Amino acid sequence: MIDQHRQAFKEEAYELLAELETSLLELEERPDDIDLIGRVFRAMHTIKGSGSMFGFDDIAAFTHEVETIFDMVRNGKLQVTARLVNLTLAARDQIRAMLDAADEVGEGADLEESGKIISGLRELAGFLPTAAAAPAVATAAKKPENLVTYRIRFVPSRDIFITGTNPLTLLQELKELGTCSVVAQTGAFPCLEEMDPEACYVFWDLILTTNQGENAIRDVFIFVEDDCELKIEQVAEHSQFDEPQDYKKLGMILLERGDITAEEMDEVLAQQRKFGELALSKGILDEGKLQSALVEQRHVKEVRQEKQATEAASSIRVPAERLDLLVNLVGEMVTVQARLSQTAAQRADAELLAIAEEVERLTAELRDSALNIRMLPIGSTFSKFKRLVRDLSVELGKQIDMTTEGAETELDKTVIEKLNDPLVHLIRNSIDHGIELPEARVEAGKPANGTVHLAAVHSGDSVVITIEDDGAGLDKEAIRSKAIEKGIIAATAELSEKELFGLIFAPGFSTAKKISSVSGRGVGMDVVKRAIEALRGSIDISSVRGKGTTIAVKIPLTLAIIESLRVQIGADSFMLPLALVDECVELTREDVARSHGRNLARVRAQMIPYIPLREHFRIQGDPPEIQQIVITQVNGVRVGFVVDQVIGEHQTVIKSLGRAYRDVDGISGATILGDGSVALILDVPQLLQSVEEKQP
Amino acid sequence: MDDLKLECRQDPKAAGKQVLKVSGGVTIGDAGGLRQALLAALEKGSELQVDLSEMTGIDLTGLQLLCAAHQSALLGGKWLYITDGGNMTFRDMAAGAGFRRHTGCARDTSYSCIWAGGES
Repeated sequence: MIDQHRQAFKEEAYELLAELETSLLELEERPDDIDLIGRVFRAMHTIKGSGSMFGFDDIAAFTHEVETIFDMVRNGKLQVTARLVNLTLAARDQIRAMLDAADEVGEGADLEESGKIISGLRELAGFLPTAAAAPAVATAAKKPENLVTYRIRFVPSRDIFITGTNPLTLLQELKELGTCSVVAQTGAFPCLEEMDPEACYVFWDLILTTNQGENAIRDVFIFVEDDCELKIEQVAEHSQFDEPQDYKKLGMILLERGDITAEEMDEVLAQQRKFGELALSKGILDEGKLQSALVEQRHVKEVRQEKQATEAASSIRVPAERLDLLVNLVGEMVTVQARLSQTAAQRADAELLAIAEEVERLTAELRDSALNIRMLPIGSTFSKFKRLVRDLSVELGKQIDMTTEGAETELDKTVIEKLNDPLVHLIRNSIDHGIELPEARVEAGKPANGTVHLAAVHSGDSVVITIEDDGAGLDKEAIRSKAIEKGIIAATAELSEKELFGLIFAPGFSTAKKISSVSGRGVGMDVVKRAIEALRGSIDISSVRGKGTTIAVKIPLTLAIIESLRVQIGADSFMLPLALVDECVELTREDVARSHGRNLARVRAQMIPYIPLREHFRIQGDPPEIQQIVITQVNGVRVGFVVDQVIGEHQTVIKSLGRAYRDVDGISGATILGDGSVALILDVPQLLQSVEEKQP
Repeated sequence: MDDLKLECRQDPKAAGKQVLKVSGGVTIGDAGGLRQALLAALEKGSELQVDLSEMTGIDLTGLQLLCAAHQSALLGGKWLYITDGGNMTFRDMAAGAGFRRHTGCARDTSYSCIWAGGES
């Protein structure tokens, strides 16, 4: 159970750190933004508080130091500077390292690094380590309890002012522990003639909702405890989710407080008027006590309403593995549903067919819901890149701003995870080789600051992510010469601009004269392309010399279940991702004969190259008289795949192939059909590539 | 806080009405003086307006004295009320100390409680 809470804290802390990083980067741009300063402070405060609660004392102590500095910033005692942002970003990284190291056997986070960061921050704040830091850390490590409402009666001694104590300071300290309502009881005041002006006649009823525990309340009164009457009672604990909305009746509160007796309450209840009014009119209660009880009633009601509103609006944190399991189970269900539909169709039983249709509808809804749960906005990934851009700019002496658009665009979490590395590589390339040094930019008549623009937008069942820089652009001649030198193209080859840019994805291709530590334009781009294609995506480049380069990555929304087109060759079934399919046309034996073995079909006056899959996969038997060409479109190029028959659309639950088949070209996975047989999912971009490579 | 200044005068427009202007800050050291000034002002007329618009601070002793003065006025069949001219220092202090309330105390038979009308 404890591990579960620790895990929940870690998950929350990782999210807070991501948010913290974004806030810090924004703060660097707008150092006077009070909201941002508040966000940084709150993130640190939450990590510290929750960290100490779940036993991450080292994290709590370290974070406390940063929080202290940001409290000074918050109070206008310290300015936000580049050094402060740098140190705080380093502190953020250090907290992350401490989180990573927590619960792992072996080496922990680098303590020396923590010390360096703290010294830097303290130096910045103008104070050196003090002994006071230790008790502060100890306080941070104190474990708060659940949210509890306390009723506190504080009756100071009559001569409290003479001892130099100001009770209002104590009230203020108490208010800092949580939500507090204060009622001064003035009923015991004498009239002015009899009043000693230097004596204290007032006492207080306080209603405090806090998670700090009773000891923290007692600590407030520690120096006056011998000089006052202090009564602390717990009146409500708010840990119950289903606690009733109504708090205690007024009479019950007064009875509990000892302000009325049970007999007096019964007597009043026998009447039909409002309890408070009746109790007052009977003279068994003074107005101050009634006022105090009413305040308690209202206070608890408000705390509960606020808590319930927060709970209603909040989300549930679920481990990613449970969602993966849910999606897998839904996938199994989709397969079984396909089997049910197929069986029902075969039996021609009207009732069974109706049930199958109902199950089909429900399964589709369930599938969409399950997949939607895993959808996450791509914004958090964008934020990470902001840090990457910042760090690389500093490293390379460039001035680069990053702008983003469409951060709210949602993608399946597995897609987002797998997309991270290719995008990092593309951004690194843009910064390293795309954007020029400030002097070169100014010389070229551009602003000294370069820009990398990252955008995400939905496009059908895909998302298109573009990385656009305003750098030097690709050098077509350099690419061409390099390709000839590497023997990738012939010296006489005539290539379109698209084909030319596509060469940078060839393995080992690079136009960089010197390969830097960051990247080389082209170095590893083949890896990027493979990673994108493994996600069933495509990548497209456009570039204008001197103006910049735009790389568009098109990725399917999810990797778990896809809409596909089922085709048949002999007894075998294959699936083609529907998103890539443009249309299907017939191919007769005469058409084949007319193309003289060139595998070209005329479709509405356009010549479309095609790949006969029966031949490609060496499937035995003769093709039918009339075959079908499924025309696909990848990166703007239309290519056909010849199959025996097109069966129709199909919900395809993707199953990865075993290790032995991982390197089979042209196949990206498999799926189970309604009759229990297996159909292979075609990897269209890879098929095209392998066919191209085989051509002389 | 500025030094306390107490000025009491007869309102020229209303016979029997005294106006006690409290300027500066009220601390425990001034409490005796304020008590005397309130008693004297209540003695002089049937109506007392305590003007706190230029008051720059008040501690618990001051709040207690104002409350007690109101109770004394009620007992003597007189009327005491406060005008603060929107003085937030006074309002914040009274609210923070928990003096603000919905209805007056048991002695407030004329519904003239100086703290009523606020939240506690």
